[in-house]
Amino acid sequence: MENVSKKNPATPPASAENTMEAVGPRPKERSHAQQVIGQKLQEMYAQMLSEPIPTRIIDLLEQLDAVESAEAERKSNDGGQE
Amino acid sequence: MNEQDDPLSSSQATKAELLRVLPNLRAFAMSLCGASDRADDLVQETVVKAWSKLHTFQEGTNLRAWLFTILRNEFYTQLRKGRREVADEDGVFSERLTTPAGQMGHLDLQDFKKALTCLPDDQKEALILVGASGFSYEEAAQVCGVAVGTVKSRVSRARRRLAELLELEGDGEFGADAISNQILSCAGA
Repeated sequence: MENVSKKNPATPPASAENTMEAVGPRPKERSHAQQVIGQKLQEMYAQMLSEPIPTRIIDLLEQLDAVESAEAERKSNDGGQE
Repeated sequence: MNEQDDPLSSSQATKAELLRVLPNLRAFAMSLCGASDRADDLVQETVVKAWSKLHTFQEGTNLRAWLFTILRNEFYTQLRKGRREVADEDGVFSERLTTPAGQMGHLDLQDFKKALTCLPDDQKEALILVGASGFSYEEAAQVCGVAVGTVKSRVSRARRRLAELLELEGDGEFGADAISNQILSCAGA
């Protein structure tokens, strides 16, 4: 069986507790492991993004909108009468 | 009162933008909560809060960051109240890693998600915001209410921790069982 794992000597040492990686986007220096993590993270997120918004949330928005419209109308009527 | 003077109608654009942000907001909630039911509760409460405060939102500023901030605050409020437990309802942690460690490129998405739950919340949220939600470090700092440097360091630590957990930087010291036990134990199974 072929071992496909690659060791990357550019991996930051554990002692580098500071912001090494965060100094700026340096994709060339990013280790293979970090590329895999980035890909998985985006794959996971894309899956979540692709899910439809549940109807209960859409319903809630419609209710909020309806309540607000009704209130706005009531207020403008009150203002007009007095 | 004419239409232009009505603050409610002037926020129509903001509401449309809110709708556009919803999928991203929900994905962020799911990343934080794990279970989608809880995530939806969180989104729902965020929407209600945001709606009631919509008049305080300044149009033209960053609505996405504003909404994420509300959701994040709600998440931690619930966490403090103990309404949301860390344990996963779906019981995914009762399973072992499905992929042997060290097989790069074959990292299972489920295993990745399990490892993600092992991260401290502050690291996880920073990683998600910057690595997935599309926020800059500055925006993420605004959402989390911390300095930019703090976000950078959290993201960096999150990435290193994940690499350790998934044995991606592997020096071959740990076998698949050791890794999955690590993940299981930190997930509080």
